[in-house]
Amino acid sequence: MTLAPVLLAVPVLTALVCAFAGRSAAAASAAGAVATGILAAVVAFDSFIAPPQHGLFGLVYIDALSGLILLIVGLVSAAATLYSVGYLRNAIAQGDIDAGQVRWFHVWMQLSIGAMVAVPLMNNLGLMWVAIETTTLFTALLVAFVRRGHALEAAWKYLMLGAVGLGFALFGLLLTYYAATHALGDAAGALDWDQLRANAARLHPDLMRFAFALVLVGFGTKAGLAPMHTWLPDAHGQAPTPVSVMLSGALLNCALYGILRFHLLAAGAVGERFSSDMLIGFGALSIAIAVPFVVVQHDLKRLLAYSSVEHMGIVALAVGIGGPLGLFAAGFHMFNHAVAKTALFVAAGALGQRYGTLRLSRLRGAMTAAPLPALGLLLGTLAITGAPPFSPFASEFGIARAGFGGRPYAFAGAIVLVAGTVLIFGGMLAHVLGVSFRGAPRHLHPAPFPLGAALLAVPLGLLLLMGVWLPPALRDAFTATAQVLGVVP
Amino acid sequence: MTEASGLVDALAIALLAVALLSVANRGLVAGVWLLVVQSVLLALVAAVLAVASGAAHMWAAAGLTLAVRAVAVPLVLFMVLRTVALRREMRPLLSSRYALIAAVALTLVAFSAAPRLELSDAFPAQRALPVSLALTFIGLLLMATRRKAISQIIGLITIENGIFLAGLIATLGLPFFVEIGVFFDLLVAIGVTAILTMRINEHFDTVNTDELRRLRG
Repeated sequence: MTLAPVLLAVPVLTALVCAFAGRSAAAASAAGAVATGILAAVVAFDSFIAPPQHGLFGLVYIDALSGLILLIVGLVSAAATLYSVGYLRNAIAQGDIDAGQVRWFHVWMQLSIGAMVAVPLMNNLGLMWVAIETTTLFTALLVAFVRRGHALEAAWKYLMLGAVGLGFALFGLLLTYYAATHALGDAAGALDWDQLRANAARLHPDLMRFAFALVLVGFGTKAGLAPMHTWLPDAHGQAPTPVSVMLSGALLNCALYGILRFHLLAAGAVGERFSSDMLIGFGALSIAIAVPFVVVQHDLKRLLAYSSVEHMGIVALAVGIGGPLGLFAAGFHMFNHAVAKTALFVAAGALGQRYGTLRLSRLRGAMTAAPLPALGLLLGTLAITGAPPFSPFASEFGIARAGFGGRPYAFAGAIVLVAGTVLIFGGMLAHVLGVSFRGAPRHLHPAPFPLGAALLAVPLGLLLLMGVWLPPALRDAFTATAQVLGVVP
Repeated sequence: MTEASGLVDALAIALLAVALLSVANRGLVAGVWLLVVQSVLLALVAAVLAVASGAAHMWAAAGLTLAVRAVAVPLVLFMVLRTVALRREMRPLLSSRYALIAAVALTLVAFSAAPRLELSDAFPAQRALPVSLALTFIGLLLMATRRKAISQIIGLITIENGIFLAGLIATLGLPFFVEIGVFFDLLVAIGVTAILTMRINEHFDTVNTDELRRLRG
């Protein structure tokens, strides 16, 4: 367990290097992010087969659920940072960003990655809250990095709603702490996850009910669950695209992770039904709300952002449905969504820079103007909307099957899932087919897309592979995650 | 301990009064000063609890409250105010009079709702819980009805103060190092909001968040 401190230190040290590196900040940042990604993967795959581990004087706790989040954060951050190198070069050439600001972009990026890596590693739920709050602060600076009016608006909304949401979560945390000091007596360790998990049944049920509701609304704001999702399309749509990759692929999962930890505590204290039903309710609402905004949409990145609202809803729904199949599919789907969104936002960013706009009505004839990103966007869309043989089809199918075999409430959730997925499949595909094939491109900008082939082929290939044959290492990962999420301690 | 709880109750009521004043008040400088008063009152709550409980970390909480909430945060806000050359909240969505009526109504809701939260037998802060809920509601009201970015930050901190008060009274705050983290986050949050406020001012030549209403759909 000697790797966790290194993992926490690498992004912070990289940020320091970037601050003083001047022209080579981009290279340092890319190297740091790749190192973080590799380390995160090593720690994660270890956590899937080993029992839960402690480290760094009890500050760190790693089980399979933390491992899965860590894996997602590591991979997505590495991809986002690699993509940012070429993206920023184009942005400077097109006059969006000053060359002198680039190193600050990387400093904020690395600090965001550091905070995201810390979220799943913290044993103390209070420090987990601190880490999640910290991610908001650094990513808000990134959202407003290009100082256009819209970006400032998006960042302000993100910061204000995020802060209010995290205030609610803090209130929930406080109630949990109070319940824990009464049940355990020991004030110092009363927010430590391992202690709480072992004694969840002794926590006061009324307090934990209220605490979970507050945490669900609070972290749910940050995870983009409806109806608290209103900041998300703005922030994900207006941020520089590498930041959108990170927000959508990695950060949403960190917030969801916070909810899942409290779900396990509430389930232990109150019984499984209460928090599961709330997760199903918020999940189904998120899927339903995303449908009209996907179908009637004018902006490519907002389209992808609403799709994120849908998929966070699907994961929440899957955890609420529960059971071995539902929980396995929940982890699987979390991973699928992160991988698919990485490819989709990279493709969208490349198209955006080629056309100088993200308006769907002006992105025309992309297959001739920018064949590589257009193909990536099309295949990514097929994958994320649940078309076989890509793996999101498998995970969504699993969730639906678990729901239809479950209690009436889960059954209703599964109906929303199926109906919503079908409608969004039609809506998204219509937009993307229009972008790819209809019309002829006009007003193109030169926008080189270095590493583009790899940044698109690797995630899409992985989705295809997992859809056809799930590698045993990943099967173990999702099985182990499901075991952590299985409610009986 | 009974003396202490009487003192804490009095301080909590004073906090509520100050929050209501900041609803009635439209001057931005005065708004920040009211925030300072709120923070000093919170620090006093922490100090009283430190004396009563003998818990050393409560003295640290009181000191941190004074240093961060009563000094550092207002300093940043005053600096922003000087940069953006702005004095009054103009044209809020509710006039001061109606805002005050709304705030009083929210306070009544908080006082009548708190005992019904099914926590009454489990949560010790009988009189502070309604006050902390009321502070949270008033903060939300400020955020929703004011147009200047600074006023929204004041609302946000009022919400934070409500939560902090509940924490102080229920559990003597969070574990020490978590508390440190929360204070650190508050400080960074204010720094980031200050940066954004100045950028908004630079870009739009105003800190009206009204300008920030173009993203739809």
